[in-house]
Amino acid sequence: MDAPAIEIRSLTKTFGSVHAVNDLSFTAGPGRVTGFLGPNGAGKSTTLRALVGLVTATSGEALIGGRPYGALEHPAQVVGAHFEGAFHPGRSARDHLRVYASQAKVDTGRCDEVLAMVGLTEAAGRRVRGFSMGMRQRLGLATALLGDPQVLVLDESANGLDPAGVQWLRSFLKAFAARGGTVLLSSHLLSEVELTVDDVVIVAGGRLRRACAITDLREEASAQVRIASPDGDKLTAFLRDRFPAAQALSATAATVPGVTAAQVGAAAFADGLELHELAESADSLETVFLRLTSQEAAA
Amino acid sequence: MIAAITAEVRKLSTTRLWWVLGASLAVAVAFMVAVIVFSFTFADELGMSGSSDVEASGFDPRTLATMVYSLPVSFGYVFPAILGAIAITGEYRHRTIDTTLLMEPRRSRLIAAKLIAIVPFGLAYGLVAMVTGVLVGAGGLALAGEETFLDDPSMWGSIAMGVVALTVWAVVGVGLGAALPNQVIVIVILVGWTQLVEPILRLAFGFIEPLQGASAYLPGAAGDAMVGASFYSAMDSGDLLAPWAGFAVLLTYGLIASAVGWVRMTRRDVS
Ligand SMILES: Nc1ncnc2c1ncn2[C@@H]1O[C@H](COP(=O)(O)OP(=O)(O)O)[C@@H](O)[C@H]1O
Ligand SMILES: [Mg+2]
Repeated sequence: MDAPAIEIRSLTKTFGSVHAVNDLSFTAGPGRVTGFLGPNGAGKSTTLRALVGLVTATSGEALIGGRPYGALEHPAQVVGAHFEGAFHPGRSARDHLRVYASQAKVDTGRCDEVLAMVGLTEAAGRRVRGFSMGMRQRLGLATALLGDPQVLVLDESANGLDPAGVQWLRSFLKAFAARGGTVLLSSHLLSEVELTVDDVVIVAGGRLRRACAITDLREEASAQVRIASPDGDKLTAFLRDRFPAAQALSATAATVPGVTAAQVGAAAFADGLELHELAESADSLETVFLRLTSQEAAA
Repeated sequence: MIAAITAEVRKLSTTRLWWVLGASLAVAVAFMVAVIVFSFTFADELGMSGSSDVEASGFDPRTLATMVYSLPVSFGYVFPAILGAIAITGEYRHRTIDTTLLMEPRRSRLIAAKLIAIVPFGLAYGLVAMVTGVLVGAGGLALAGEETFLDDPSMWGSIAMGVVALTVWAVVGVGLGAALPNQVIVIVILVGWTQLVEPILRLAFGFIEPLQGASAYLPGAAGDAMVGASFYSAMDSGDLLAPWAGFAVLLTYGLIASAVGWVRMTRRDVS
């Protein structure tokens, strides 16, 4: 059974003269991890807060399965959400979860269960005061999971995780979506969630800049391929014939813009050029992201 | 609703605050009662009053005993009030309000659950304060050879009303916290009002002819009235309301604060 979808429809939120969110519309569907991306102050948290009823929209709607959060019968059993830093430092991890267990309609055994799911069993009895950022993020996820929801709304949950933590979160969220769940995960760093998300919703200045599959964004990235060959002369000739736009990095290495690794690899194979390196450059996606969220794009 | 109340009780019981404040309450009450009983009953030995004994300072023994047993309320009410206020302001301070409202999006229900969940804690504080106050107070009176009136059931009725008064103060605290959800400001106001502003007002009103009756309606005076005597009224700052009228007035303060808090909290964005 598929989880409810998240729909943001013409959402606008102003705080006095600040337009935090401006006529924003997008959907996050079941079975997918949707990355909600944008620089600091882009309006991500405000949108997610409006989605779960913490903030009242100035106009527009934010719906879960067609209903506002406040209209859900048992909200914690449908949606699990977490925002940054929502812990009392003097409470232990287990007590933090036990506080909310009655409202999530679960028994206290479920608290230990979700602690185990996020790998905090050892720290269950410790006060949150002594938790690292990564442990707090895990406890936040455990809180969101308490009511065994079908929808996860996570604000900056990858922030502050070490690489192993990011990898763990990735596999966790991917598995959650694979079971049919809906995941909306905000981040100000594309690189942090790039491998986690299936879809991206990019915002800046409270406005939508792009909503598409991450694969579309990759294609759009001005693909750039780096190659290296031990045979400098042959490499130079190859590039002159096949890819005149290439730029030499050294006598034996160069970058080729606007192509894929597959294209360059096939051409090199056909020409009998020995390659020691063939890689699509990793920062191209970041470049697209920066271009989409930059000031000029707003104009 | 039961689930929301359970959550609120657990929030209060899972941090150290409730017993740190409760222990402070017991210490503060023991100290103030000891000091005041001592100074009233041994005033002559200390040369503080010219004539010989307690009667000369204008008290009959029963009023003196009642006044002593009202001291835990007069000097302890700030503690349950602070616990109640922090039950709300702490949620904003530590940002747990996010998760709290995710679990219970109906904000009126949240406030109602907090008002109810504070009651057992208020009762516990009331019991701690009154038991401490009566032990120290009766001990002091007995040492000085005064009557303790502890064999008088109506005196126990007054003492029980002290427990109720401190419980209502915890509820008033929740209302204040909702009305002013800034922890530092609400604590400064509570401590400032209870320890400084109201005592001064009660003394000042006593000297201003048209305001003399008004001091009985101040929240601290209303709480003291529930026991039936007050250190401040003993110091010639006006009469007290009847115990049940005091209860009604104090509860009204709590309800007004809660209503203001309800308006604020139901409209306020949490961001
Ligand atoms: N309560 C508030 N009062 C005033 N301005 C706010 C409030 N909350 C957010 N903002 C402003 O709204 C904009 C969007 O903020 P936010 O949604 O937190 O962005 P993000 O999460 O993408 O970093 C920012 O300019 C921020 O300063
Ligand atoms: Mg944010």
